[in-house]
Amino acid sequence: MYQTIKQILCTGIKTETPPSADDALRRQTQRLHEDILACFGRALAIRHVDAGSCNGCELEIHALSNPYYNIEGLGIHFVASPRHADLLLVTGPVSRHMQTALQRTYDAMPDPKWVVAVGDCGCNGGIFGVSYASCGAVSAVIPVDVAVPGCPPTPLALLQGILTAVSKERK
Amino acid sequence: MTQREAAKLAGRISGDSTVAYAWAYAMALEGACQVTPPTRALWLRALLLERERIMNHLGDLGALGNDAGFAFGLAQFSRLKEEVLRTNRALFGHRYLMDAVIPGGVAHDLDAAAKGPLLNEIQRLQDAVTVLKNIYDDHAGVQDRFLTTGRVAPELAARLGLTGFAGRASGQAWDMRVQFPCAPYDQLEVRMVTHRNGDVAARVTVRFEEIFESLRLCRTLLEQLPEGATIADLPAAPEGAFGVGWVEGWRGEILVALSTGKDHGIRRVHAHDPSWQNWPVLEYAVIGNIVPDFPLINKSFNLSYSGHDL
Ligand code: SF4
Repeated sequence: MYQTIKQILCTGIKTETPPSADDALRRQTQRLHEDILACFGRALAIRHVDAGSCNGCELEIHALSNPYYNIEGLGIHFVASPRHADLLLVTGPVSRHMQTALQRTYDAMPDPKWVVAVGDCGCNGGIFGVSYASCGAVSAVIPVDVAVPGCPPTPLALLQGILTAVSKERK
Repeated sequence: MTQREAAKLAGRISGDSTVAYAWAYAMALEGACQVTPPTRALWLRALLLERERIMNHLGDLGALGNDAGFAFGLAQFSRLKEEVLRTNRALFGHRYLMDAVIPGGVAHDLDAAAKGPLLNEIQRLQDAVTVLKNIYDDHAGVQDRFLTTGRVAPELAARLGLTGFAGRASGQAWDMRVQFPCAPYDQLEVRMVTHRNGDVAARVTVRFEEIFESLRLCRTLLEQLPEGATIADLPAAPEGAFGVGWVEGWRGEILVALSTGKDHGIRRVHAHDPSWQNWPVLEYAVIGNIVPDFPLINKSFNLSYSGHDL
């Protein structure tokens, strides 16, 4: 126990300041009223679906939980069911095997809801493109609010994308 | 897609093993073209591969602590992993080292000035992981969850061909860096880590020991890094040339076999992921265990979906 406490104290607090929203990432205009956004901004539940990624994007999503980015400290947490989610985070090009599953996940989410497409693959199919096995971009299957490019996007870029989805649009 | 463009795709078969795949693909193509990359490039590839191994073991050891109800482990290990990723970004241009290994050599040379900070980082990691290993070893609750959980006996492992570090934790003493070493591993005398218990605790022990061994290898690679070029020209391979690449990735052995086509194209290519052998073994490993131990057992293997489902 002594070692554990010593290690915690020696490590200190590593969390860095989160980035601010970036309207350039938007694919659709903000659909929600400001007051509602104020609530969502502070208690957001995310459902993540891997629609066919190489798992690089997942590594960065997991990195969001490390002490440097501390996503839970911002009131954002990941949930295990679309029924509990406000925001759907989709990685990968949508493989044809996952097309129906992704559509059903989206349908199962209560309104209001947002979709954030992650990575070059999620934005436009990336290196996998469109083929007999891949539908390409997430927006080819469900409506996308915000798309975050990068291969994989850094945790900061991801955080920025998520915060953009739930923030007020600057006119 | 040309042979060169395909190198990028090879590095995205399983993102957490991007160095291993990019190297195996490059080795196969270099074999087909009958080119040997410069020695410095091969040493840098090994440095990247060992960093990939360290990075993945760090991440999983943290997640394993978390799945055993010890969130401290996740916070500590994920912090260490993030620091390794940031060094990767600064020195090799990418957090996960994607596209750092290219056919013919490596994309980035290592600055002489980077050697000192890298050696310091190795020492810092060595110290921090030693402290964390002692904490895990002494924690009764964590050990209670790890010991005897998700056991794969050596006989079963041998019968189903369990490979990689999971195989080594079940008495399967195979490591391509030891038995079939490609340069520079033939000069490094890699010390293979094995265990016979085959439970989550054994896989955790093997992962800890492999981190220490990889840190030792990184130190040797940095201290004895040869001078010279980091990339060789690749002549066009004749149509129908064949090449094979094999690399011991962090999860296990990765193989790429390739035969060339017309105009720098590829006729056929096969990439093999260790998850292919190991997924069926995971099904056996969970038999007779309580449901809350499933995530723990699953994480102790951490198999790839994308690498398997090609
Ligand atoms: S964007 Fe890059 S890292 Fe993400 S799934 Fe696609 S290939 Fe992998």
